Amino acid sequence: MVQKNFTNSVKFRKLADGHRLVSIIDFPKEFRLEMHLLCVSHENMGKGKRFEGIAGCLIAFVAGIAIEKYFDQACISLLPKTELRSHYKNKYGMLD
Amino acid sequence: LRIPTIFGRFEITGHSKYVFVMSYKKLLKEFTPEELAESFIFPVRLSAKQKKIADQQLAEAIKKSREEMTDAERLTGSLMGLKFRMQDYIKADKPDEEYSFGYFLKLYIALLERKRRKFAAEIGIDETLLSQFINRHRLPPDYMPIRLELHSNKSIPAEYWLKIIEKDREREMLSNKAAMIKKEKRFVTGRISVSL
Repeated sequence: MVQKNFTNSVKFRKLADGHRLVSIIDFPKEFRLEMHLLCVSHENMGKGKRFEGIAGCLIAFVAGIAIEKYFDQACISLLPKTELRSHYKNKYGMLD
Repeated sequence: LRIPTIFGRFEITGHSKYVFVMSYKKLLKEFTPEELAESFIFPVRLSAKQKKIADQQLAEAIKKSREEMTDAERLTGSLMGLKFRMQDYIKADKPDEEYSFGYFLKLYIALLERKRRKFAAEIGIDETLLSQFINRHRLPPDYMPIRLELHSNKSIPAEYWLKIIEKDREREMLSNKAAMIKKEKRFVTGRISVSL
């Protein structure tokens, strides 16, 4: 399910179903989408997770939207919690 | 099925009865930082000062990254964007007034940073004819999707262009349907007895 809510200049887009949720904010002047929130279902978290790579797929989904919207200028970003910063870099190849 | 919500602020339609609230600190007790990074991106609140610094760092990082891109990477990104946009339009149920064969052709030429004259020469057509396709004054003939596939080095298949042309034809027909029915009615002398 994709919901679109447009408030002032900030655009939110959510993809949510029973297994995952992602919320993004559009910054058109910077050709950038910021992943504001992402989470996967409880059964797909931690050591006993049912499926691997759901968060990665969601990040790729956001990257796809960014490329479709901003072509070669596309950029996706997130504001990391300090403890998770290195893990996002290692796992998803994000730059500092 | 349980869906964690961060700070309990996000409602998920149809799933609200399964939603429970988890804070970042509680999650850290249950999962390692690595596991959390594989499952979450948490909303972060910054002070005005922190936000200013973060924005500055981000702008510098983006600038550096864009400067380091090669021409081939830029072109690949542009073509991927065009391809995704075409795929989305092809999947759409109804033709959209904004999109057309001309729209995508114009975008393709713009992304390649080609002059129309040069591009027309590269695909072996006259510049005037190219303008007619772009401005929707003429529907493209069968050879156009093939020539465009060859020009894009198979990056954008002929089928994509063909399906977009079909949507253009559908839009044109739907807009004239009432007049066409009126015109064609006299040629249909027999009809079947049932109607679905």
